[in-house]
Amino acid sequence: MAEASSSITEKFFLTLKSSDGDEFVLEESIAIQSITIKNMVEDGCSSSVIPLSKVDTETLIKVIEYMKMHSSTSSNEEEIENFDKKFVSNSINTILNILEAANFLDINNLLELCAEAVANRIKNKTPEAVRKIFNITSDFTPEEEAEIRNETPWAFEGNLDHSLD
Amino acid sequence: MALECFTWTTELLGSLFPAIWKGEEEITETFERLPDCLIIDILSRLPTYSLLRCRWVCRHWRALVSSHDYFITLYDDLSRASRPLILLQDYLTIKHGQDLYVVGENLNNKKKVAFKQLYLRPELMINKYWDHQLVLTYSCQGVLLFGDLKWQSTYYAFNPITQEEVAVQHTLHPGYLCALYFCPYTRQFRLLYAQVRGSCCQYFVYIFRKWTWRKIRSSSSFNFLSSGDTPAVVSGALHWIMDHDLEKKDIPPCANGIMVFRMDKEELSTIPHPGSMCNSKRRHRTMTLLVKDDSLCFCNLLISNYVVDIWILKVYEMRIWIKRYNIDLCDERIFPFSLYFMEISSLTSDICGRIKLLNIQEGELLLHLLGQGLFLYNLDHRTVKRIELPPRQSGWGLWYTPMPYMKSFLAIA
Repeated sequence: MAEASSSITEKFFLTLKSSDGDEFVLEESIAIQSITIKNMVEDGCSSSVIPLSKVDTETLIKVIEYMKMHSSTSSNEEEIENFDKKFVSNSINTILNILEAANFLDINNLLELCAEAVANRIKNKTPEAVRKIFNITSDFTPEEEAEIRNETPWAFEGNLDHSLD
Repeated sequence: MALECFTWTTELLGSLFPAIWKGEEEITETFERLPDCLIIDILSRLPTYSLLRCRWVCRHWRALVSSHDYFITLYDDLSRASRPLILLQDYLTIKHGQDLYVVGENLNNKKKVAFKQLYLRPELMINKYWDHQLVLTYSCQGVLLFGDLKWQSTYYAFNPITQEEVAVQHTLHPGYLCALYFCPYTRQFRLLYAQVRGSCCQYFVYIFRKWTWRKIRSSSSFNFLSSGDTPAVVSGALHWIMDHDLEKKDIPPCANGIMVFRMDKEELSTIPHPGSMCNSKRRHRTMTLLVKDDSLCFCNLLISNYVVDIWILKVYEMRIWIKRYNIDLCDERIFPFSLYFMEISSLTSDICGRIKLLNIQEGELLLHLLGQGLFLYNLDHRTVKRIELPPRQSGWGLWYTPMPYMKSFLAIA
């Protein structure tokens, strides 16, 4: 499965290995949407398996799915648009994982898509909900919290979203 | 074979990895390592209110959002990169408090022009003292300045993003407020005020952070007054069209056509305006200074044939001006309103107040034609598009001031 085979149509294949040890074979022309992988290919490091120690299987599947859709010449703009819409409806947790992977793999479009999606999801949330989503513990004293709230009380008005997704 | 394998992976998606909310332990593992650059990337996409709320998440985020210069410059860059917004003050509804609209966040998007009313805290002084006839006078780096027509010695500076409001009073003699400016060297907002006594003029600078008015030494023999327009800021200096010379009232100031104020040395000086000497006060009133791609831009509206000549100051130190554009306001192929516009203007000789050139950004000139509305004229393509104003019950009429505006987090004081 890992061989970089060359057929009549000159298609090359790469093998990507997730942090969980699963291997995925992908056309080189699709995989090099990732600048990180592209650089590896150009440096000649792609003959064997490319280990992606920072990307787990679930995330890698999503990333491959994205790259496939965004490189294939058969998918039209509308298809891609619908795909992206569905893609960002994944849980915010999943999107954050993909965002990190996109950062590591250097896939700019995917990073844009995910960062925008996360921003959209958290924009109406209370600071408490944002903390939980990003797993952050508040390190403010109660006095400081009150002070920050008083600086811009209007930023806390209106219907804020307490949910975590 | 490889492709088959991939089909397998896509099929797995729906069944094996459904999008479910996972337990908190797993989140811990996931996000503690989210790098700062990604957090900044996400936060920079948030609307202002959300961003301000996010300062409250933890110290680290607050450091990223509030105190970190990175974010302020990021926002500076963003606003510079994007088209400046247009701010409207609605005079008709002023008795219920201020109504400010921001138009144009989505001007590039053909589907809709986004506009919205700015949120203004009810307890703001500009809302409370609506009966003082507070007029939006200057807009600079995200801060708006309101002049108090009732007590002419009071001004209110206000940043809609941070909702910071500062009142400024002075006990100086009557005069003119020439500018609200942001001094890039000290990163302070300042006011420039011209006090007029007879034929003598004395200029003062107000520093918001220090709460003091200070006399400018260099202005002791500088008895010129600028027009009330927003100054054009280029090369560390403010520039206005000269309005009059207090000492020689009858002589039009062509040779001193442009008044210059250097922000670092606080020096006032003049340079001649480009083109021929017009020797007409009336013609000076139809001149405007704008900024195009960091160059000073002299726009001369010739009343006789409704043409705007635009000159660019190519080399600042050498004062080399190049006549670059020529806009024919009567050209019906470009301006659909030109006939109507001509009829109106022929009735009144005072057209300087009817046509306002507000701003040039990305090769587009923003024009306000009184009674006609706001237009964007593309200087290179010679095309024009109208900007739809936000709908309001009684219509917009003539009672609004458009002003370029950009969002910023800059503190006033």
